[in-house]
Amino acid sequence: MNGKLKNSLALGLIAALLLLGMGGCSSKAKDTAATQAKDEIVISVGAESTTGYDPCTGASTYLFFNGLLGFDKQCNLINDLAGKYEVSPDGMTYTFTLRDDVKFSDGTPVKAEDVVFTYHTAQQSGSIVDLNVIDSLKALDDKTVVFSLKKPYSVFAHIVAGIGIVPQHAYGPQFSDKPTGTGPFVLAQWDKGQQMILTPNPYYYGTKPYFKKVTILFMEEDAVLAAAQAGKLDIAMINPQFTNQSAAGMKLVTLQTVDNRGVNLPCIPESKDADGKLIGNNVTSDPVIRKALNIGISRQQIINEALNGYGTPAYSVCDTQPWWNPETAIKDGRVQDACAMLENAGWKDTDGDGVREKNGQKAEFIVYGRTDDLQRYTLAVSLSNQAKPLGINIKAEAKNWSEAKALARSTPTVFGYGSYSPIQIYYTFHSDNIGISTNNQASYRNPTVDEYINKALYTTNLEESMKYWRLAQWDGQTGFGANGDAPWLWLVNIQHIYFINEHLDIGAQRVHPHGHGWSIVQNVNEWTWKSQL
Amino acid sequence: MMANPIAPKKLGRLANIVKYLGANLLKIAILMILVCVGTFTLMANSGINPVDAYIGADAQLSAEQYNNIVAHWGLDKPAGERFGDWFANIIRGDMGTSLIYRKPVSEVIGLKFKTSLLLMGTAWVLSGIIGFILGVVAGAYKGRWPDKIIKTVCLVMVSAPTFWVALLMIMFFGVWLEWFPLGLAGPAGKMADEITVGERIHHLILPALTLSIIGISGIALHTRQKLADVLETDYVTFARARGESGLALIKRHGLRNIMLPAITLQFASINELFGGSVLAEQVFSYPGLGQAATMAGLRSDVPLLLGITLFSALFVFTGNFIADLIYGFISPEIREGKVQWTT
Amino acid sequence: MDNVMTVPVQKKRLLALNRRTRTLVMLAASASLLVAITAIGALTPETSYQADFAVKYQSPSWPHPFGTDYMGRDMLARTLAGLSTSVLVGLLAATVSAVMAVILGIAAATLGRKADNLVSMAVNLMTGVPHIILLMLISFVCGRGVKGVIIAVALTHWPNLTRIIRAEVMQLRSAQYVQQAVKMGKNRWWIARRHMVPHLLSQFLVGLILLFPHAILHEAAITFLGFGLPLQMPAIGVILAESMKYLSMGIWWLAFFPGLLLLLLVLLFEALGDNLKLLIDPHRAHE
Repeated sequence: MNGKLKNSLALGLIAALLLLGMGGCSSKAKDTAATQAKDEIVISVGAESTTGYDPCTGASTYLFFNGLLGFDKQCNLINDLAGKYEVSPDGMTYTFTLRDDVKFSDGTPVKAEDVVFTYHTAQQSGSIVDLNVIDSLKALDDKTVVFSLKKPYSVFAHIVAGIGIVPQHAYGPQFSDKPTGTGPFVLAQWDKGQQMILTPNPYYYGTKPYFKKVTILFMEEDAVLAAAQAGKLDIAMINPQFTNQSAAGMKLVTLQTVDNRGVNLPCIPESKDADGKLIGNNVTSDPVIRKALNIGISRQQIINEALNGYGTPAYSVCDTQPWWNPETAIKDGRVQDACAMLENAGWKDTDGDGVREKNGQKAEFIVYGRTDDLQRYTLAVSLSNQAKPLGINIKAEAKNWSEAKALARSTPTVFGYGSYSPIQIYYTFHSDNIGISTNNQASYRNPTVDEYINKALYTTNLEESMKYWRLAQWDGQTGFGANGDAPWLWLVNIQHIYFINEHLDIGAQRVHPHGHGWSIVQNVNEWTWKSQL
Repeated sequence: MMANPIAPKKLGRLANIVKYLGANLLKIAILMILVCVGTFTLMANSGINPVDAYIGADAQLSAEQYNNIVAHWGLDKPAGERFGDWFANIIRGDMGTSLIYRKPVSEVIGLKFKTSLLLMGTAWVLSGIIGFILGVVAGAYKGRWPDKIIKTVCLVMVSAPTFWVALLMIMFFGVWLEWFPLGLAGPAGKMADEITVGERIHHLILPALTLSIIGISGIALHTRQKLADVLETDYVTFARARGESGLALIKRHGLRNIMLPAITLQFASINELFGGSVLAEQVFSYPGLGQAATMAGLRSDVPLLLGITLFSALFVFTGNFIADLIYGFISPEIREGKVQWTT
Repeated sequence: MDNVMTVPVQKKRLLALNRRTRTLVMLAASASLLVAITAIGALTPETSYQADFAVKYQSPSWPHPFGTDYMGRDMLARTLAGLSTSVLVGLLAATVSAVMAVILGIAAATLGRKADNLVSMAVNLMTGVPHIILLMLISFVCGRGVKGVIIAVALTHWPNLTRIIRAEVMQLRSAQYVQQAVKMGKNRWWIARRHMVPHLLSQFLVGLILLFPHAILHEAAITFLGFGLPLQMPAIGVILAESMKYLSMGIWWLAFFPGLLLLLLVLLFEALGDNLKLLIDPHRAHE
């Protein structure tokens, strides 16, 4: 080929690259300038929602909606859209009266018919919103709604707190992408796969936001880190593996969560169910093994290894929640006690391979982590390290989540729970739930515990229900806590870790529920610059 | 009065082309139907629980709500009936609702495809141009060192895993040199309409370059071979004897002959391009159709996965069809009706 | 002096090897290297790449020439183990595919028009859906994991080889010497054995070996996306997928070395296949 042609091509390529390099540089400078603007912030707090923001199909109330009830900073129930509510003595009728000053972001007042519409739509949506306990509901007048339940249900108030109210006149097929609600923010723009832009709702009845524009970006974890270090983000959710990094002008903040990770330990011996599916586990069905694991491993060590130190030990599904029984917080890391317990129960290492046996059954089993969540697999690996000194051989494997869930009744799997409602206790530990969907994966059955849970659910008094929830965990002699039957091995409450602009004040936060980093936006309307305080 | 001797011949040629194209279209239609049947049957027999995709990772449900969901989405009907429903809808253009996005599958595909199109289109053009140039150079200098270098480079390009090359690109140009951004389709924090064309291009370069690598080697090697063949023919020898040489020689005698196979190969490379974009989009967090396919597969979103399979098959068949179209109009054999049109 | 015939002198070579010998040497070298890598990888005990959280994130140095990852696992051991997994999976899948290709190719060429159309239709069908999407689909349907990836790769690599075999058989049938043999009264089996098998065998072997790199790359690709081998197996796709997270922290060795070795592995296979082709393909054996 002609030398001239080659030369011009090369020159052209270099020129193009230079131009674009410069273009890239200048946009970097512009971005930094933008985020310094006083009333705008840019944050990245987790994966983009693929289902959108429609409360009728299960979207949470963050940012755009309010439920009839809400939660305070200690996760207790408080009034939200409903100025007041009453529960009939038999616990089957709930009457909510709306506040006078609540309006949707388009200015229209919230009426009782909007509430009725919301609940009816949710009932027919075929989604995860479970309103099967409602018999009927109707609007008595513009401001009053009455719910009739099929039976008393103490967690009904929690359910209500989770359902944002949508406007009947503005609801349609596109609603989940363009929601209209009563919350502090309006979704001004949503570029799928890239970002969301929020602006304040002028009609919000609560604390009005300081920031006039909140941009939420969706990026991969490593891109988030890079962006934070480049000064492009005011808040960046960080993977615990990256905590040894630093970002100029930002400080590392860890927020407590009830977002836990634990492993179910099947309580029944191996067998086949009616459909021929394998259930039960011959090793974990021995209560001594479960107890030994619970007291023998060091949760703090697991946190140090798998979570880079960012987490707190978990002893139940609901640590720190109002219905938690603190007596379930056992002392762990007691390797000798655990080994003694196992020896006395007949689990001895007779062939010197480091793994105990009893009646020919080796103390080994598989624990599944998810293939799409490296953290769970790492937890399983770390757990396996902890179990070795006890003479128990745990094999950590990763499995695709649908399959792992299907096999969970026979193979211990790492699950994550933690919410603002005690209903999780019912789904996880009540014997009625054995074999239903992925509930009660440990196939746990304790009639005393069932009693307490029933009482807790069907009592008409919220306060009393709390008492029963705690008794179910430990009543002095038995319970599903780690100091009782220990059907689960709760490991950690992860912490949600963020790089936060050191001048930004995010106010007081409720403990975060399961759901990765998004929970930090629960009070965006309260955020402000420290200099303003 | 003599009938115009030229006209019937022209008509005859046109008829042949139409026959040829018609047969191709029919072939495509049959293939699409088979793809539908095949993919649906695979899905139906897979033992996958579609409710799972729908209720999310850690949701807990009561038995009642579980049955509600099954009934609502028609997941309890027998496979044959579900296929019938599904196929009837497909014909009407309704590919069902995506379980993950809770939107019509056709809408999701439309949206994602637009994003992918820019990426794939750029890569396609790039690979065609670069591949062609490299092929011409290699063919012209056959046996000598430019040829050897290009052949080696092509071999390495074909043997290297695409996603690894993508990772290297990010490491080198993104993290180390910081010339290009690490992902996405536009700079973070900007309103969609404020993103300049320059910025779009800036974000597009690395993924497009990575993706184009797949196609370069095929075109380069093919072009090289064809040019080498042409350069050994008699008329080129004759032209050389007359004193023509270098670029002028190639331009005059070589290019036209080798351009046609190159273009045809280009269109046939759409298949590989699609596959490569799945990998490139994953590495660069580029929100296109490839990424949607990966998500659909990982999260058991059956309608979306089926829809994307159909769409991509259609896309590839169309690419092949266009290649055949070009051949049909240009190739004298087909014009004369001498070629059997079913391959 | 000018019209004295100059006797061409053989160019002095270092080892005086002719082309055939060189090819044999290359063949032997690449084959033994491949076997060595596979064997070492397969024999590497799991303990050599166990998680050791105390030595996380070490950059390449002694005793970890490829560095360690986020769990402190030695990358050299993991990479070698991963490569041999890929080779073994690739071996299984490629063999199945190659056998399918031979059967279908011969069937298409010898069992008449209908069979030919059927096979051609199947080939078009398989090549119509983009390969990765097809792999994702089949792997998904088969439940992903080891089973899914092997079935998916095995069932999708036959089209190209089928085309080649079909063309070869068709060409053979119309070759002069075959026609002569028919005329001379030799029965079908004799013709098949003497004339066809040598050609087909060479195509099959070469095709099989050249299928390997494709199978291996595809297996790595879908494992990378999450549809293939599970996390606990040290597969290259897994290693590269995990490495993505750590790039921006400047931890480059997690991605660089494993991919490089995979590339070398693929190149070795291609060298093996090409050299074998030169030696045993009757069309080119005399080059």
